[in-house]
Amino acid sequence: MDSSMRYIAMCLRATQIQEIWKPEAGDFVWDNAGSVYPLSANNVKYYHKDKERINKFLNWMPRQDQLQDMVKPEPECAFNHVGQLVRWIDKNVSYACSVMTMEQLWLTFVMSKNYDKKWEGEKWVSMQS
Amino acid sequence: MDKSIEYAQMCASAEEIQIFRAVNENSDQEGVSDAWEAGDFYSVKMRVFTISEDEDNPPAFLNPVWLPRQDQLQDYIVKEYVSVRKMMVAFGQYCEDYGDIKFSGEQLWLSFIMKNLYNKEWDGVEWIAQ
Repeated sequence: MDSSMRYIAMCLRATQIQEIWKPEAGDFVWDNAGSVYPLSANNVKYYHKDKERINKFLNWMPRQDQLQDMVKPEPECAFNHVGQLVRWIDKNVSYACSVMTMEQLWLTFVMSKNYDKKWEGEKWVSMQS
Repeated sequence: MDKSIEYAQMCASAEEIQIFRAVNENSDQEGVSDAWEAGDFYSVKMRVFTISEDEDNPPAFLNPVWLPRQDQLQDYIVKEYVSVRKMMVAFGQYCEDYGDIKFSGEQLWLSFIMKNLYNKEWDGVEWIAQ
């Protein structure tokens, strides 16, 4: 699992992704104390009791399968999410080359496709600007 | 995460992968592998569990089957490629050529690794050497 500072920053600032998080055991989080760890079943129970407070210090770091679930399917496309990503890489070679890990690649793809956003080193910016 | 019976069967049959969570001589607790990591998923009798920092590792007598995440599978093969992009392109090509369209991401990556590192293919029941 990518626990690099870059992926942490990308996840933290992807507010659209944080907003749709429904915590489950096995989800990776980054807490405000600077640790990355997977949630246990007990963590999840506690989360549901005090959602608002916990949202202030826990940030979701989605796994690849979770990012793939966010990719909207295209009809008649075999290996839907893989095919879409490979085609996106072909069209965005230099941008895709700047990405270091598969988690970063999927997150970059999801942010581009679903929210029209691009990572500019420190934040997500609209691709229209 | 793929928690299906199909993926658990593919993982159980992939001895080359399960060896990484086998009990080893240096383990502190008898009959429990210390190779498990927080965030690992495993299956016991068709139920899927996850390991966290405050839970014990599963004892070997339960025959836990490690269900690797995609990033864990990629760790075994990434060194074969000069970049993540090259690996993804090779993986995309593999999916076009051999992949089963019903496969999940985890199943596709496991198949890709078994083919490229061990020259084995899944026949629906077990991994067959080609």
